[in-house]
Amino acid sequence: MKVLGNWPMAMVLRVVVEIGWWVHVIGLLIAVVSMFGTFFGYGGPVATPVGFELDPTIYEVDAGFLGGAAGVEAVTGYLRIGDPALGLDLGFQAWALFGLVIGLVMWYHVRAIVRSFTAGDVFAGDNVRRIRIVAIILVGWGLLQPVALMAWNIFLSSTVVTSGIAVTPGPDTLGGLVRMVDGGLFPGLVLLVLAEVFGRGSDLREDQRLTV
Amino acid sequence: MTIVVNLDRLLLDRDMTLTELSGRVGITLSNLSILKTNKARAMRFTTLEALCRALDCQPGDLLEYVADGG
Repeated sequence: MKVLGNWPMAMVLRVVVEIGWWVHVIGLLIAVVSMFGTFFGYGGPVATPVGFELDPTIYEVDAGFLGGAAGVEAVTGYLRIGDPALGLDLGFQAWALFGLVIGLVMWYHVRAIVRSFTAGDVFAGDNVRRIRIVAIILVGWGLLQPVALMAWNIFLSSTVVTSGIAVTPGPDTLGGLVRMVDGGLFPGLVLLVLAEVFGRGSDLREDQRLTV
Repeated sequence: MTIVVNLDRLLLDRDMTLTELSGRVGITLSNLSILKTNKARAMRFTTLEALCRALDCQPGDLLEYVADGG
């Protein structure tokens, strides 16, 4: 296998990316099979992480060795959705499947980029395009998450109604915002900048190639 | 705006082949071909100097500015 000079990092990257790619492919296949199983009535109820905000005048939460119930008004846990008539279980799996497909597209392009390293052609024009695609997906995913979270929040608050308990999606608002920036927006923007660098590098290489 | 390299004409006038020129100036045939077909994006002064010496000409004989549409 041709490597980029004596850089072992290229070999490590190649191995890591290949493993990541195949794990993702297998995960996607499992998700598809699981979804078909759920559609035809197999499989158990879906559990989703949520937060429970408790009315302290009604509920008392024992925080154990941390100091008792005073001040504890919210706990996290899992909401099990077992009614297939709601279609939520399919909805969850469809969302997970969507995420896996998006992830697979990103892995595909990252894999192609790493393969171009080992072929010795780093500043290929295709790599600029691939980096931009991954960047746009990351930015889009980062922006989509709060929208999905908001929709889920609206659904939860209108569907799960129990006196004195408000159910909210797992991460809090700040956590959701951090996840949006860290999980998609910031890495996507960094990649867009890198794509620009690659583009300039590609142009410089072309100029060098045609300089006599 | 185009800079045209008149290598063909100069080689013809001096009854020289591209291969001979390549041997004299130490530039590969492929690079000379890039020059000859006007595909080059840039030329080093050292290359220009070597070509002018080998072809006994001035830079203006080798390079010509042609305006768009000309």
